[in-house]
Amino acid sequence: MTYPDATVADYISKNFIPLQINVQTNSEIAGKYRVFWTPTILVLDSNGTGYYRFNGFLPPDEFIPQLEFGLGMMALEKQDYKTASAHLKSVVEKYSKSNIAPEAQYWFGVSEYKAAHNVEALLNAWKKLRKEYPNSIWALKVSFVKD
Amino acid sequence: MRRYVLSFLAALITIPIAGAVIADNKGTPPAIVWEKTLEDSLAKAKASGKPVLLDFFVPT
Repeated sequence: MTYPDATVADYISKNFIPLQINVQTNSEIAGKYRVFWTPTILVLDSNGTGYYRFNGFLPPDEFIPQLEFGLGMMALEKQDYKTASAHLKSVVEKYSKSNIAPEAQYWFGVSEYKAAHNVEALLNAWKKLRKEYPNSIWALKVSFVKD
Repeated sequence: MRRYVLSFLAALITIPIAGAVIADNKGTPPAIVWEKTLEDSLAKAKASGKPVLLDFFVPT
């Protein structure tokens, strides 16, 4: 359903080295990445370190933003804040209706703050989160921020 | 002689079929080319600067 979609195939080919592992015949690798259910999707760096994962089938309009978010979170953890902000902003702007968008907005604020200790950027991002996604759990997490 | 005639007939049948298959694939979106091993994927990731998208699955 998802992988034959032209947009998904194009996105993956442009942004990733795609690898499929059958857990039934590769239990050692599945164990290494603590896989207990399929599908499990991981974003790894070139050392094989996992930075983002999710489970379950998703349609293309949710799958692509998850991957974009994963790229953002990997960059954030690696302290590449410019790249992180670009990916996270892209999730919010291109896939604003996706379920991952509120979390992307949350971490976008964090990335902007960490890039230059910019408190104003953090608060602005979180205020926008409360405004745009008021019913998300991520808005609840920033509910202490004053308007 | 008979062998050459059979080869010629086989070519006559095969070429139009191959052509039709190629024509049908025109406009088909490019499929994802999945790597088969973690080692090869990580080597390609290092060379290309791209991360790896790892999909654990069970055959259905």
